[in-house]
Formats: sequence, structure tokens, C-alpha cells
Amino acid sequence: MPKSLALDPKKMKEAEAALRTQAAKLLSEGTVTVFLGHEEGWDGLPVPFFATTPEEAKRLVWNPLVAFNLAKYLLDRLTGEEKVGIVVNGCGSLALDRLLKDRRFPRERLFVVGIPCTGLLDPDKVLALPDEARQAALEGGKAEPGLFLKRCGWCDAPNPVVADVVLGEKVPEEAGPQQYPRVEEIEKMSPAERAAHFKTLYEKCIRCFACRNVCPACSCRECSLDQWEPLWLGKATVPSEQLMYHFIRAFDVAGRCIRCGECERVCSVGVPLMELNDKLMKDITELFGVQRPHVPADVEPLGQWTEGDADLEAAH
Amino acid sequence: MATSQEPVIVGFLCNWCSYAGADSAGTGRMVQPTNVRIIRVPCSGRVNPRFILRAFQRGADGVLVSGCHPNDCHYSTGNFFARRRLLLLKRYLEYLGIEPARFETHWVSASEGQKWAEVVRSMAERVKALGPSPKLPSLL
Ligand code: SF4
Ligand code: SF4
Repeated sequence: MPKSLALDPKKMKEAEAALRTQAAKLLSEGTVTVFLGHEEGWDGLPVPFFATTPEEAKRLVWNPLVAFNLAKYLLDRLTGEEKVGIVVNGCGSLALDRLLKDRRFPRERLFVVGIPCTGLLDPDKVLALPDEARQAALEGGKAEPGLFLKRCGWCDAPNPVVADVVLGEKVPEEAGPQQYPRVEEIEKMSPAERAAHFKTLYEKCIRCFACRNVCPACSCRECSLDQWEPLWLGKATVPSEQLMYHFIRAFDVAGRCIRCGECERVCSVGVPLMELNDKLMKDITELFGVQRPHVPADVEPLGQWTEGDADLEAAH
Repeated sequence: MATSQEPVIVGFLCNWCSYAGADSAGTGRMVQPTNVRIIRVPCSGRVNPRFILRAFQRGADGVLVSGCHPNDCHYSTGNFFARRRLLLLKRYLEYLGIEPARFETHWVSASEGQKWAEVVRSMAERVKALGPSPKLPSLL
């Protein structure tokens, strides 16, 4: 876990005030017509919020629970000329950059407010805490490492990579090679054990598509998984289609996955989707020498090639 | 499909090189095993990894993708993209518990009937040695 991962609620409060001021200014000056952020939901958890007036900008929040991936909501605003404001932290900016690099939203229509990140907590885990412990975590910054979002544990980009204005100071970054301990464990299993392991993984799935919908790398307007003609994926929740779904979902984002872990976090039945995403990411580093495969590049690893790529034919 | 002793290999062959190569093996009357069921595709780059999983799910004992040699692609670079993708795919299949030895890629040009016959012969032998493919979760 990066050393910089020390929750700083005071800093976040300051950032929240600055964010409200900034958003109100953008809206009143007419720089943007809508600002994407979070507001407090009925259960105390932040929910995505679209502020359209300076008055509404006062409802924006910035606290250790703002885990939602806002970038994906931009796709609802694809048509039109309006300029959209959005707030991002480190991983939020990777998600945004993913959409930009995939040419899914015009940069000129965006005003990005970046906030350097000191870590976020897993909303589900925080909600489950007794009142006192919850307060200590949220207001006192006393949070066990296990309370953080999984992605904070491997984050090497806490400072926004895309921003028009940055609120607050840069936080220290530690870029080392990404680690994939769980994938390594699975690789050590026998093929039969692995097959059995993944069978239980995808048997749990109820195919609600939440993992696809939340993913910033899954942004096609028409998804082949929804098509009837041709029927790439049968609609029945039978083993063959469960396997096919997970096979496709992970492979189609290979090289573009930002390792945000949102797919796994939003899954209501606890399918460990990162076991598949991480495997592909690890192999992309090993096979093609891409050191930070989760950081959007101008050309994604599978959108390019070199003459020197390993050749499978030689291996038979 | 995999009920008899003879393994079934599904082959995705590019229109410009490997399909013509297989054709020239045929017109040259070269002796080759009959295990491969050929599906013609425009380019090895057209082969979506999901085709390969589906083939295994529907009972293939082996899957073969064959295209033009690197640098000889009819569309210039399709096979280079395919090479990367299939390299990654092979490891992914292995990870999911599907025997990777059942999946091969080859480069066979239009004039290489001889090589095609050899590819078919040797792959059929290797797949036969592996035995019938364990049934993947399948509708069938
Ligand atoms: S979110 Fe979970 S249950 Fe829903 S489709 Fe994804 S893996 Fe399946
Ligand atoms: S971690 Fe999951 S949600 Fe995030 S980019 Fe990768 S596949 Fe998509």
C-alpha cells in the first residue's frame, strides 16, 4: 500500500469548500452549464450529482466516500454543445482519460477540476461500522488499511492526470511495478483447479451487467453483448454463457482497463472480477513490456504491434 | 462432436494466404488428415477471441488460426495485430483452465501447400495425443 495513503479529512474539507466555490464560479460565469460531482444521499453516502446553478453547487461534497466513477456519466451528455464540468481525483482522472483516449468525449467540451487524492474508503465497509468507528474514520482519519478501497492499495496515480485546475497540493507518488499477488496464486493452481475455481466465480454471477455499465473502458454505444442478431451471448444464465460473458468482458477491456476495481466493487454478488482483469494486465506487461498498463496511453497495447513480438508458431 | 477417436480441429484460415495454401495442398493431392474443419475469414485479424472459446464450447478438440506470414498480410498489418491478441489469448485460456496446447497459430502462405499439410498432420497428432477435449461448460 502506498505510503501516501493517509486519509486526511481536514484536507478533504478544504478541498470541498474550494470545489463548491470553483463549481459555483464556473456555473455563474457560464463556463459550464452543468457540473458533475457528488452530493450526500439519503443514507449519508455520496451519490452522483449534476449541479446546474451556483446555488446547487453548494450541495457538492468531497469526502472519503466519493468512490463513484463520474466519467461514465459524460456519455449521457454526448449530444449537444454544452460544456460540462467534472471533478476527479487520481483514479477518476484515469477513467476520464480512458474515455478521452478512446475518443468517446470531446476534450473541448470539458472543464476538469482535479483534486489530489489521499485515499478513499470503501462505502460498504464504512456503512457497516459501528457509529463511533465510522466517525473516527470519516472525521478523524483513523482508518484501518482494510477500510480503503481496494484500488487505493495499488494506486500509483493519486494526482489527476487530466485537469484544467487543481485544487490543493500534489501528493507524493510512488510508481513501482504493479503487483498481482492474487493472480500469482491462481497461476500456481493446476489447470483443473483453475477451471473449478473460475466455474464458481461465474456461477455466482446473475448477469446484471453492472460491472460492464460502470466500467470506463466499456463505452461502446451499442454493446455486442446486448445484440440479438448476431447473438454473441445467449441470454440464459447457463454455464456456457456465464463463461462467455466473463471471458468477453475482461478480454475486451484488456490493455484499456485502468485497474479501478469498480467492476468488482459494484458487483452485488461478490464476483472477484479483478482476477481476470489483473491477469491480462500482468501478461501485457510481461509480453509487450508495457510498464503501467493501467494508465491510458495514446495507443493501447493491443492497438499496436512490433516486428519483434513473440511468435506463437515457434512454440509448437 | 468429440465422440469418435478422431479429434475435431476447427481452423480459422485467412482468405488470402492460408485458405489458398490449404487449397493448393488439395489440388496438389497431398495426403493430409481430415481432422480440420475450415472456416474462411478475411484475415487472421478478423478472428475474435470469442470465436475460439465458442469453438471449444461446441466441442472442438483443437482450434487453429492460420494467416499470412508476418509482413505478407493482404491488409498489411492485420496479422501483426492478431499475433499480439492471440499471444495474450493463449495465456488467458490457460489461466481459465482450458488446455492451451489445444490452440495453435500458424503462418501459411498461398504457395505453401506442403507446409499446410504438415501443419495439419502435426497438429492432429498433438491434439490426438491430448485425448478428447474436456467438456467446457456448454449448452450442448
Ligand atoms: S456485476 Fe457481478 S453479477 Fe452483475 S454481471 Fe457483473 S459479475 Fe455478474
Ligand atoms: S477495473 Fe473493472 S471497471 Fe475499472 S477499468 Fe478495469 S475492467 Fe473497467
